[in-house]
Amino acid sequence: MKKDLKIIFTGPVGAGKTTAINAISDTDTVSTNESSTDELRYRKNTTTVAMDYGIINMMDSKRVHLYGTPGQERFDFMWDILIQGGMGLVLLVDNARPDPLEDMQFFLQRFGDFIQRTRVAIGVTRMDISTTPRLNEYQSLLNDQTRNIPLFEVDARVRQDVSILVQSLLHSLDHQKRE
Amino acid sequence: MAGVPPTSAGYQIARHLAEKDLQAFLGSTPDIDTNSAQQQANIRYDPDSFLQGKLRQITAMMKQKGQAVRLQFSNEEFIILYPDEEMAQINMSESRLGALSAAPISPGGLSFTFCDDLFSPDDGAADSFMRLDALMWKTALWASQGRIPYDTDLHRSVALDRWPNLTRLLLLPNTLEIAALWAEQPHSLIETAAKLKIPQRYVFGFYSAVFALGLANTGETMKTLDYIPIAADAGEKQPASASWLSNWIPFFRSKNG
Ligand SMILES: Nc1nc2c(ncn2[C@@H]2O[C@H](COP(=O)(O)OP(=O)(O)O)[C@@H](O)[C@H]2O)c(=O)[nH]1
Ligand SMILES: [Mg+2]
Repeated sequence: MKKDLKIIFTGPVGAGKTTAINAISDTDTVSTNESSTDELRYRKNTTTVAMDYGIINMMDSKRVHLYGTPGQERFDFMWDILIQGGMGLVLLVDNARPDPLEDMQFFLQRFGDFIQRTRVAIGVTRMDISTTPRLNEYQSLLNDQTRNIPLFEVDARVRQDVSILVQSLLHSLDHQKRE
Repeated sequence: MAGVPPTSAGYQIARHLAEKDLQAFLGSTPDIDTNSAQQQANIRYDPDSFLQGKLRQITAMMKQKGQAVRLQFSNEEFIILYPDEEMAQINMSESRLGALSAAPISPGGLSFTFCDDLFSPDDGAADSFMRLDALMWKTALWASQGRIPYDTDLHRSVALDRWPNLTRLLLLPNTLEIAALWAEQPHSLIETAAKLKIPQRYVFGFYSAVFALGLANTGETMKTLDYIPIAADAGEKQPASASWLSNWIPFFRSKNG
């Protein structure tokens, strides 16, 4: 039996991917760059693309692997490699960015094929910093989706919030109809 | 909890306390035999006789009028609801609120007036503040105690219109499982308890809470889901069986609460 699960965290820069993976991981998370942000680093002629990785250890040596996508759109060829083997997507949207509703739409569209094959759960972060747009505005946009997508207010620094988000994704996967 | 042997006295006491806490929201009624009219009657209540129903009626009016409203109970206790912020200001303890929510409201026990109060959380330092949806959710659970609104059909499929904001609502056992099931595949209340192998009162309580938020859909207008069989992305084999993923979730829950 397969032992491991792979979940991808995505969303715009600053939405809380690194923080969320940290909050929920058992081991110290790995970021492939040493600066405090995980943005792209340029060294001479090579470009290092940063990536978050964390792990949740279960009983029976089962593990959930958590991967964060690097944040800049111009490197999104990386995303297609990263999502291979993924069981589901966690999308974090930063409510304090100029147009977070558009951000959500962008990522849902960008990962549309993957989401159709798997499931997605959406966390709206930094609502304490910007209280608008409200969740119901996100919900209205989600009405166009074929599925009923979990959408919650999330503080990526709070383990319980991230845990609920990830659990909603796992339960959605568990209860999807198999023909 | 990991490391605590299930037989230890501490574990037993902790379990007992947790069960008692849960009882306030989910009651203690055992699973019913749906052929028994008496047992069917025992699991029903009328939301409109409780604070839950009053809140629903009053917030509907408040949203139309766009003005704050003050609910006054028979003594000094009050709740002020703010339409724009969707917040409630409450000048009583949690346990008093629980008591007021769990008993039917007597005639004259509650009055309300529209008011010009502005939402200013810093002024009412002694009062507590709650999101309106969290208040409606919790008052419904207190009223329901694991029961369902009286006219609910136990055998009719329930779908979730949308996911409630569960990171900011009181989570009870199996809340996330039931929500996911109803979001993905509508099931009746009885089927849900059987499928998830959980006490019926957990399902009934959750139903009453989503009903209070207007998110429980038992009609024909539910989203027609276009189901696609589970498949990991390229490079991974399909999980061996339906139980494969469900095996994970309890471990995950116990670790991440
Ligand atoms: N105030 C506030 N800060 C948050 C919240 N979620 C995440 N953050 C902070 O937002 C910043 C960016 O998060 P980070 O994980 O680096 O975002 P990433 O670019 O997606 O990896 C960090 O300082 C987090 O602590 C939230 O809900 N509220
Ligand atoms: Mg990051």
